[in-house]
Amino acid sequence: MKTIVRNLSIACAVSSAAACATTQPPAQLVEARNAYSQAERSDASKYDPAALHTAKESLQRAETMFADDGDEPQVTDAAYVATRRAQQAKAEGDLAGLQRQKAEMQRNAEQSRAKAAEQAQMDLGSTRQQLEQERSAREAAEAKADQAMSKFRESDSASMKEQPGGTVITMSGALLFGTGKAKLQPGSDAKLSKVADALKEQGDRKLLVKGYTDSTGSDAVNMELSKQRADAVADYLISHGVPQGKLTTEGQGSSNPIAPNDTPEGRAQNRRVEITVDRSESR
Amino acid sequence: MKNPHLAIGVIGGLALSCSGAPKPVNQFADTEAALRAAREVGAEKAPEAKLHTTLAQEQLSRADKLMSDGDNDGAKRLLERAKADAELALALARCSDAQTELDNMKTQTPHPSQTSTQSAGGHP
Repeated sequence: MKTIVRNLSIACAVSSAAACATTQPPAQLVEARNAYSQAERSDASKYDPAALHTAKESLQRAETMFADDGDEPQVTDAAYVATRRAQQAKAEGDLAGLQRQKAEMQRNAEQSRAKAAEQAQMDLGSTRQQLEQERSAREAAEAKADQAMSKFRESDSASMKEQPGGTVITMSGALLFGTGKAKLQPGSDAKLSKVADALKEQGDRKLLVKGYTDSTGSDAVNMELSKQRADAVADYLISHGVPQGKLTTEGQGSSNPIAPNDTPEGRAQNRRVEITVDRSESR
Repeated sequence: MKNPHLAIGVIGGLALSCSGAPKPVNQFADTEAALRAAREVGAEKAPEAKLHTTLAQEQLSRADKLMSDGDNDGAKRLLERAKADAELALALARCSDAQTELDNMKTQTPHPSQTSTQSAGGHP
């Protein structure tokens, strides 16, 4: 009886020991299982299923060895390899994900560049159109200004001469002012109003009003008188619609005579006001 | 000797168990090639990859010793481990390079709000 009990006890102990040995996987196999789980949850399942499959096969090999009570070093080695394969699958999945991100960034950058180029092209077109409109407006204004001058020329209200700097309108000083005076005579309005009408249409062209005297009297007096006369004409033009900002006045005294000062007729010619319409300022 | 036939049998059996599998020469070459490939893509520069090239090299060296000692089975298992480490190192190195490249692209790509507009040079 004692022998039977003793043998039964030994048998139980051996079978429990055997049961414990087969249900406890080695640490390396546990690690392999965890590594595979991580790989399964990573981008590997989406982007590199082939690598994940290889990792799975590797793990299954280790599991089979363990289940078949294989030599523990062999199971450990197989589990080690399975761990590496799972880690490799995860890394390759991550790599595929990164490459996709890179490709998308490149596509986006290319689209941005194309869009910027298209916008620049549109801006350029818009600018060209604007410039064209401005040029047309300028040409129209110049045509209008020229037409006004032509009309004025035909009216024969004053002499006109084309010079390199612009068109020079010359008005007789006797027509505009009394002897030694700088106040406009009543009769000057008829001619001056036509001048004002023509000058109002000159757009952005600058206007220079110069007063001249004959050689009678001192230079100082003549200089002052000629300036006052130029200012009087400018004031008239401003009061009749010519923009003030376009006008400049100068007194030239007896300089630049256009006729000899030793005859009454010559002196009469030299007593004058010249208005220069500066064409070089046209845009 | 009491039983010479027995002695011969034992010795023969021992010799057979030691030489069992052939030398894994091809496997050794494959493993070396895998390690070389990992190094060529710069695995030594990425810390995580370098760990596995180091492990691969150690196991390769141990496998070489085992082969010299006639333990071909042991050598085969070590070579399998070494190759797995080498191939993992290669994947990690490529991953590291790709991440660096992507990070560089992100710093270089202009912000979408940046636009370039050009004017015709203003009014003269």
